[in-house]
Parts: sequence; C-alpha cells; structure tokens
Amino acid sequence: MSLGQRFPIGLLGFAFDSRNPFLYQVDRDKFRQEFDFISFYDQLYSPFYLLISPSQSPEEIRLIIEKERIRLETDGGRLLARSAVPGSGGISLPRSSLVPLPFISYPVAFGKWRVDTGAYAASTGYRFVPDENLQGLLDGDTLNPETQYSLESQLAIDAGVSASISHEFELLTGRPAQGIFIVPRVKTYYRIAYVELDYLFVSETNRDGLPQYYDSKASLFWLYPSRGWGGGARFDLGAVLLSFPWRVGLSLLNLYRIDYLAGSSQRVEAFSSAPAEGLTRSLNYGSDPLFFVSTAIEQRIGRTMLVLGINGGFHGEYRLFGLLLRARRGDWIAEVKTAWQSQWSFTTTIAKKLWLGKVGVSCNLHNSPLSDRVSWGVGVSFQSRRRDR
Amino acid sequence: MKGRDGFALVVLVLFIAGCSGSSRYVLDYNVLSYVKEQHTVGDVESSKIDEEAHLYILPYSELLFGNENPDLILRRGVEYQYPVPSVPEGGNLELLLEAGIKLKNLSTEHQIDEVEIGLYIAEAESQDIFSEGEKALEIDFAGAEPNEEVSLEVQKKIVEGSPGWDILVTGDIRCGIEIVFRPVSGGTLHLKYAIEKLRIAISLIPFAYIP
Repeated sequence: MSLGQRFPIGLLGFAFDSRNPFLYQVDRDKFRQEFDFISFYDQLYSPFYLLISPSQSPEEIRLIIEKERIRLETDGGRLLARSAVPGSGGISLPRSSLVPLPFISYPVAFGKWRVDTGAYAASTGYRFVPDENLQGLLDGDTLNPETQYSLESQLAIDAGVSASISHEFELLTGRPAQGIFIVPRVKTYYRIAYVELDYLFVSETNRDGLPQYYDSKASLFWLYPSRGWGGGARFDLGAVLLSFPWRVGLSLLNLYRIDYLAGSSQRVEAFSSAPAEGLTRSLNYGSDPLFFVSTAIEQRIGRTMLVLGINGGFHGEYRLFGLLLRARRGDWIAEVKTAWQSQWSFTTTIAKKLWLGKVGVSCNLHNSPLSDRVSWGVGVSFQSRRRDR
Repeated sequence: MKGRDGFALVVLVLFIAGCSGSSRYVLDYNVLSYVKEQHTVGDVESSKIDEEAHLYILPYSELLFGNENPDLILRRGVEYQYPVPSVPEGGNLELLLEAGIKLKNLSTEHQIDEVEIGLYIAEAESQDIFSEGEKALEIDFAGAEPNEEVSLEVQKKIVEGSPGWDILVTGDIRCGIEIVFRPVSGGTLHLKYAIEKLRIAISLIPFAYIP
C-alpha cells in the first residue's frame, strides 16, 4: 500500500525571487537585494515539497572578537551544524556515486529484472568540519598560544539522469509466506550539471594567543553540457527477508563505485576570481559503502491495516534514522513519518483512491540544512489506478 | 587583527551562518577586553593645574598625564583587515564606535570640563596613528560638576563620505582609541571612572558586492 509517485513540485519554489539563482542573469540588482542562499538551498534540499516558509538567512551575523575569545552570534536561530550533512533524500554526498534520488522516475519490470530510469537535481549535502581546536573555540574555549585552527568545507549541487538495473534472486525457504530475496543492482548516472564550492580556512595564533595569521583557499568547480561532463556507476547489494507479518531489509549501497568529473574550476579570493583554469578532471573509485537496515510489520486491526516501519543508515561520515506509521482504511491512507538525516524532518500524508488513481497530499516540517531553522512545505503524490493494482 | 587575507574571516562566517541580500556581517571588536583591569575602573588625580589625563587603548591600555607620549606599540594601535571590493560604494560599509562611561567627580572644587573619546584610524603602514592618522570619530561628553556622578553612553559611525572614509575603504587599517579627561580651565582632575562599554564594529553587506 504505497502512496505513489511524488511530484517534484519543489521546482515551483524557484519561481520566487528569494530562491531563484537565475535572477543573477536576468536582474542583477534584484538578485543582490532579494536572493537568499539559505532559502535556495533549503528548496533544493526538498525537491518534493513546495516550501511555504523556507528557512532564511539571518539579518545580522556578528563575529565578536574579545581578547582571547571569538564568538559567533546571529539574530536568532542557531548556527549551521558542524558536520557532514547528506543531501536530499539522505543518501547523496559531494563527489560521490551516492547521487541524489531521482525526482521523477520510470520503473519497468521484466520478470525478475527491473530497470528504473529517472532524473535528479538536488543538493548533495555539505561538509563543514572544523578541526578540534576550532570546534573548541566556537564552543567557547579561549584562544591558545601558537595553535593552528582550521576548517574544511564543501558544498555541492548535482543534476543529471540515472538508470539502474537489478535482478531479484529468490532463495527457497520451503515455507509458505516466507521468502528471502537477494537483489544486486548496478546504478549508472550521467551528470548534466554540477557545482561545488570547496573552502579551507587556516589560522594560527602567536605566543600571546592572538590570531596572527589567516589563510584561506576557496575554489569553485562546475560543469554543464558544453563545458565538461560527469558520470559513473556504482554497485549495490540488497537482501529482503519476508516472513509475514514481518519484512526485514538490508542494503549495501555504493559497495563499489567509479565516479568521473570533468569541468571548470576557479580559485576565488577576496571578491575577485582568478581566471578560470582549463578543464579539471577527477576520477574516484573504490568502496565507500552506506549500510541500510530496515524492518516493518503489517498488522490488521479491525477494518484498518497498519504498517509500522523503522530504518537506520550508517556511513563513514553520517547516520540516518527513520520511523514510519501508515494506516489504510477503505479508500483512505494516512502516514506519519519522521527521519533524522543530520536534521529532523516530520511528514504527514493523507491519500485517497479516486476514479483515476490514488492522490496524496503531504505536509513536511524540517530543520533546514545550513541554518538549522524550522521550515515547512507541501507536497503531492499520485499513483494511477493501473499501477496501484 | 593581523592577517594575510581578511576575506577568510568573512567567508568563514558566510559558511557558518548563511547569506542573503539583506544579511549584514559585523566584525565586532570588544575593545573593553583589551583594557587593563586597573584602567577599566580607575581613579584619575592630576597634580598640576590644567593637566589633562589621556587613556590610550589598543592593543592594551596606558594612562598618561599632560604631554607624556604613549609608547611605540600604543602609537601604532592595532591592525584590522576586512574585505572591501574595488568599488566600495553600495555595500553599506560602516565603522561604529560605541562607548559607555560612568564618571564621578571627586573634586569638591573643580568641574570636569569634558570627556572626549577619539577613534584614530590610519593606513596600515603608519608608525603613529595619533599624529599621522585621522581622528575619524569623536565623542564628547559634557563633564561633571563637583561631586556629581554622570553616566554617558553614545555611538557614532563612519559612513560613506565621513572623515576617515578613504582610509576605511582600504580594508587594512590601524586604529586606536584615546580617552581624554579634561579639567576646567584653572582646575585639576580628581575623578573616578568606570568604562562600561567600548566596542568597534566594522560591518558590511557582502551580497551587495557581488559583481
């Protein structure tokens, strides 16, 4: 009893001036006054929800320098989470074969084979990793003499098409209502556009514990159809155990990957950019697995069918966690879902079977990436009567 | 703050807190934290008639009388670096000085004529900001009658077109503060003071500088 295909209505959000980066080309003055990077990134992070109240940048950001301390304050709201934060859908990362989930996809099954083709465009998350010294400083420690403080960060946006092919192997258990399935999958993707900002900040203190030296390296990398390309493939392996009313799933995504990027890069220093360098290429391969485990139980209570599910994801850099409760009664389905993907999100959905298919409306509440403020939006889903059978 | 690349700080802050067309970034220097404890709350008593007391601040503090000159380090002040584009107009670049002082005139005979707080700024190479630089901001408080206790608080800004603007837009300045306690003509100083607030804030809207 799925809720159907979600529509990427979040794309409509980019029509608002505060979330529209294309204003830079169309109306530069308006862009300077209206564009809000946090709102834009928040919408990009939520392609399936039109954000009614996206997160906004603070009006004032203060770097307060006292004799031995440095503090950061904003006019309300907490500062950005300092960690590796996965992108939309919780699985993507910059420069990784863990590309975002497609916002629109077309699955086709041939017996035990399944092909899923789709298009994606979303944030692939960011890393914001201060070293131990800087982390302590931002938490209120005093500056230490002759100490180095550094920060590494990376933020990326990825758009492209992906196709996966998988085959289901059923292991015979000899028991009715039980089954074990092994599903290897190869996922390939082609990047149409990719933008990445990398930044390294290093500071050192002198003998008196005062900042005496700053250095920063910022660089921008991008590609689009006439300027570079990117693509790759990864190998995933999944296993499902069905034993009514239980269902347990184990997945190893990105068990092996190969990822290629060719695009332009540019160093950015003090409001002026160095001339763009020639085509920069990078090839990454190897294993960088994301391990998923999920379990669900289905239970009928009177005329209502209930599904309770829980899942967890473990990666070298981050953790994911989700909880779901879904109820179906007659033509109605209601779902409550909460997830932790370095930020909390909470989604409620209500769907009804109509003559043309199943139509669902969702409301999503989440801690916005980067700013950690709460924003909310609405989404819609649809499943045709033919596919719902 | 001495640095090779002031832009680093702003980018750091941008990464930490996000940015929009209306986000103002402020480098806020709590000058009070650089003032020695005995100079934050102190007594001033001059021995000569008409002798002024001068409290020089940044990178530390020293209280001197009459025509005594501050040492070389105080004369150089501190260096602040911050990013300024080649066309600085439009980003609402400003420098703010905010001060708050409590003052008690302990003299039973003489008035305190005035208390003057001056912010001096000069180019980064300057060896003496007080003689080579510009008194970019000046806050004058009316003094106090004998035995009177007064509380003073005010803030002033350097904005586009103000004195010191040309130095401010270089993005690499030296600055220091001088507080002058001035007795009434023919009088001496005998007072107690407490500096409650002293900060310099350099702020701008980075989005306005996007080319």
